[in-house]
Amino acid sequence: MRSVYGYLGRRLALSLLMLWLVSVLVFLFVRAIPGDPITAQGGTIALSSEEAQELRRQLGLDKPLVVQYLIWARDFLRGDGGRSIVHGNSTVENLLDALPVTLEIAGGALLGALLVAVPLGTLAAIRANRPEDYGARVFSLAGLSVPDFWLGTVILLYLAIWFGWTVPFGYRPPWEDPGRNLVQFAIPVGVLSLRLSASTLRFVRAGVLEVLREDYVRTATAKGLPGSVVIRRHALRNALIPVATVIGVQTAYLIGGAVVMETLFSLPGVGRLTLASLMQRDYTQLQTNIMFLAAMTVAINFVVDALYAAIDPRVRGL
Amino acid sequence: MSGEVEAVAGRVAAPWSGAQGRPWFQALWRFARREPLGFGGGCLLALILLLALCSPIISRYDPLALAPRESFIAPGNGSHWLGTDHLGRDLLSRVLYGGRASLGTAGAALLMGAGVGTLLGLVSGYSNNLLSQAVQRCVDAFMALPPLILALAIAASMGSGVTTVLVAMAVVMVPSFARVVRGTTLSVASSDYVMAAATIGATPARVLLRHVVPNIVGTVITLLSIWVGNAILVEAALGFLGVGIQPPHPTWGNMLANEGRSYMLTAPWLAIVPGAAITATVLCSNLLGDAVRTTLDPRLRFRE
Repeated sequence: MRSVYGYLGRRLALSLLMLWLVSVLVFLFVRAIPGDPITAQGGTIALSSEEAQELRRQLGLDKPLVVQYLIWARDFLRGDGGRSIVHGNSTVENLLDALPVTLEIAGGALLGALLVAVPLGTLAAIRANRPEDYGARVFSLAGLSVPDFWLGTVILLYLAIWFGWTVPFGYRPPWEDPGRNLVQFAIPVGVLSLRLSASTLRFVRAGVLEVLREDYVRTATAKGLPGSVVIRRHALRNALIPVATVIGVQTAYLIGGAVVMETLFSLPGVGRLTLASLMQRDYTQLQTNIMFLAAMTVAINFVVDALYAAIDPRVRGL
Repeated sequence: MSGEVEAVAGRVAAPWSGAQGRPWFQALWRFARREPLGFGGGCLLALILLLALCSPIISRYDPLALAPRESFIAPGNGSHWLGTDHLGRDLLSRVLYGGRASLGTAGAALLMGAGVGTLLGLVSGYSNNLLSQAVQRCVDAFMALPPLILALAIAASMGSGVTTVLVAMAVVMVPSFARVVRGTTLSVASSDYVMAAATIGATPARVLLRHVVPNIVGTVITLLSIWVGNAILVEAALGFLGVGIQPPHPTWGNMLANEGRSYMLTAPWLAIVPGAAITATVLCSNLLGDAVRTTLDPRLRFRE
């Protein structure tokens, strides 16, 4: 049997290679965007072509691509990320300012999804092809089919029409005004976790169904353990291992969902920052953000794989 | 995993090609009896597609024609069934035309993404050399980028328009298809019948087309069934974020983002109708997709 460490070493090397590839991709993508920050700002400030040239030189936009990439990579590895072309301050600072909002949305949605999906998925599997199962499946189909931005809009709409109530405007961090923060985040987190729980539920159901057929579950039942103990201690524990991997995959979708929710509910998170820097051609900010989001996705997947390998020795040979 | 994949590969052709000499309508009837929900979803989806496709024939109004005097008519009106928007444009016509744009874009993007992804996966799985390893690493790198962010970045780098949305969505789907098809191809390529074919002197092209391709069709159909609903949702999300087809030309996403959100309180139907259209279409696609997956292999569980 191969050791966990060898497997982890190979996975780590692959992850780092992947991150390097991502960094090149991100760099090239961002450069391919037509127009540069100077022309994108052109509407607001009138610049002569000499002035524009001078500004490009100051921002390092006149250097060869390879040099620009190396400068950016150096800055990024230093944890600097360069200055935002539009705002002039550190891109990493801007990112860190926006991060708590996104983490609250994504973390809340993940937590909510697990709280719904695990019990409901288990119930659906135990009562397969009975009313409970059909109910859970309808819920999951509906959750997968409703566009999250529409659901968010409709909820806002009916709260306003029926109760004359609107979400308070202007973001407040939870440490300043926990009550208001909770109210502001409840709807986006709920909407996002609905979709996430709909897809996770399917995996939980399938996992539990699979495990219920295993010999050790039959043994546990045969030796007289009560049903709830069999489910909790024998079935669920094994069924949830593959579900952990699914959560790794969902991270990427969660980030996309956060972009939409932050835009819809005017919350100043990483998603909205990314969208704004895209529109303003803020190269450096955009690179820092996308690189950070990709690094987070890779890191979470690595951690999930590592946990998986620690739990299940069969995957180490991969 | 590989065991599962082989099991799929072995039983793929049966339900579709009428292995026991059944004509296609009998196979369809069997499908309808076994998966009534999926069949119903499929029929509704076909109806929606037909309506969207025939929008120029069905619509009584030009979706772009302004009629300021008839603005904000509520739904249920005799001449404007779904009402009108702030510029007096007929909502029914706009939803139909919007559906044609949205579903057409989503469908074309799905075909492009699936085609390129399948080809990449097939080639990199069958000729497992250094180049194919490199392709695979690039696919992994693309998968590390959150799909919506990737699509947004591409959309921004190309400017808004139909082509942009097509490319952005296709690029998002390619890695998923390439990765799974590569896995199936690897296991099919190492099976005995493929080796046997190669041994008796079949050319690589013949082996690929006659022996490998037919056995990955099931995997591709399964992936398609997963992606149909997603493709429609991604197209709508891009339209909602403002990078898709631009107003005044309607798509479901941009109708919701523009007149839908601006006049939410005075004319709620402007926000409700396009969203309901998206939901209904995606729901039908998912019902059909689930039934197709069950038919292909009840034990099939993809970790995608």
